Amino acid sequence: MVVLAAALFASAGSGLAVADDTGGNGTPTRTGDRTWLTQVSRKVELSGSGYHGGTGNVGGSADFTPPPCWFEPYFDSAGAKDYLENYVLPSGSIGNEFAQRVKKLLQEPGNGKLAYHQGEEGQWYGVSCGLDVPAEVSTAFQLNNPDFVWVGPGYPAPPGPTVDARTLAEIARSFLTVPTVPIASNPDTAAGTPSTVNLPTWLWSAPAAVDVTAAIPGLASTVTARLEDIHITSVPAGATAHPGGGDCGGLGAEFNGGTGAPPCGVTFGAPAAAVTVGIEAVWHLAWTSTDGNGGDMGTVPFAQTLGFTVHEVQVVNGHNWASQPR
Amino acid sequence: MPAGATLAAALVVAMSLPVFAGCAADSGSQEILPTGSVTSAHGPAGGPASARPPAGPPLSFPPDVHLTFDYADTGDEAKDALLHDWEAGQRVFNAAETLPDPRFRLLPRYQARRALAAAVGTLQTKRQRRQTIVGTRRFYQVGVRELTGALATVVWCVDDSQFFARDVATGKAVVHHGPGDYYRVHGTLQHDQKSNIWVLIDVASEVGVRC
Repeated sequence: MVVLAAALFASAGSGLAVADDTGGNGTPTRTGDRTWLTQVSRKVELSGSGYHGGTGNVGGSADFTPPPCWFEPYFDSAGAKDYLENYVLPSGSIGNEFAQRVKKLLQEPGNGKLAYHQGEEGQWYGVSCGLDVPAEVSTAFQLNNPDFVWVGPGYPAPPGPTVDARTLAEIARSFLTVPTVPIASNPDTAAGTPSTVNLPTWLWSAPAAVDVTAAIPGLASTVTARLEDIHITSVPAGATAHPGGGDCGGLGAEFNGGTGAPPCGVTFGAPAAAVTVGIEAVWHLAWTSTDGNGGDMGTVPFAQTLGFTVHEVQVVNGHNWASQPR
Repeated sequence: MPAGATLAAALVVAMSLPVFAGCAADSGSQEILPTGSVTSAHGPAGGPASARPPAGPPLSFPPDVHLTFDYADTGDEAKDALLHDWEAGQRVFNAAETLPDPRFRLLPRYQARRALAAAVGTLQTKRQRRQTIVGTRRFYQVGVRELTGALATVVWCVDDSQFFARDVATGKAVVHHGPGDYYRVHGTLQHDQKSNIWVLIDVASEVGVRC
């Protein structure tokens, strides 16, 4: 491990950010929680089916507090050489003091040549601090730690906190967006088939999962959101949710021809040209990491609505309801 | 001061456009600048946005790269000077992003310390991916949060919803270029008395924020 330099400077605010929901087009919706991201993002590679394209951002974990300052990968050996020789050393007076210190530290004894671990595997780690970290805290961290540290394969991590698997998982989570859940129904409202008064309309959803991976050299964490549950949160006046209370206890079930109450559905009590049913799709989050860490991240509910047309069928003696075309 | 830099994203456009030599920073060495066009607009304090010459050194951009600075002058001489340098720095950084091999000596004139490391890291990533930028990047809700002596904090919002990375080899835009289409950046700037320029020394971003 090699210490590159110690640049001590007063910064008024840096790093960690706390943001509101990204929310895409706003549907589905979610309230609470938070999304955060820091300047660490510049070196974090993000990918996965839940990175962009979804409509609801799951936000950050309420129980996770990142460290105020930490080390993160900045440059590989070639990048450090480019950074120092092409940008830092020619810098103006503000950066000049730092540049001279770096230059002095990197000079090999005797010949004065600069050494960057050229051609070696590894990363130069640098300091980052949270956006909401008081200046005195970030300054103190910078005073007590080197600005850059070379970490080669098998070498110990830099002093102080580094970007660990959980932090990467939180970064991945903050970018995870879930899609609007396609809720199927029988009768098929999407196909324009109306529901019938006093007959249950079955509701269900296919299993769904999306994920985002956040990776830095040598470490990656993936957060996966799986659709776990559907709740019926509101029904029109006179309608009844199934089961009572509206918690479907899963994703419901496709209509099976039975005459009983569906595991998830609603029975309308009156005809209507257009009524809506409130649905809450509950996603269960979990994370894994290439270093073997992982865990549960709880659930995040998203609200959406389903529209129905309800008509009334005149009862005829001897009608077999179970044979009604659905 | 350049700072969209923070968000690693690799936005960019590739331009094998003609280049010309201009003046460099303090060193006096030659500087490679991109050519093309640039848009910049902001208005007087309290008034509607209006076109005005872009702040900072003469830069030109590829015709399909546009930077829009949508904010009003504050009417405070010190703050407006700060914002002028901030805008110049943003333009310099984005100019560097338009170059396939952006060793951009103007950059250290407007950035130092961690902000410079972030900017260079972004440029290196872009170069490794053989990407430049294309589209329109809009800066808005620009404000001076703090200005005390030689230190200042500027907060601004960026709309990158129409700003993409472009693959140099294929010329095609890469739609998903970074962590978010919208973000808010907090930048710390320090006044360089020698050059009389406000230099961005630290940056951080909130992603997914529609300001």
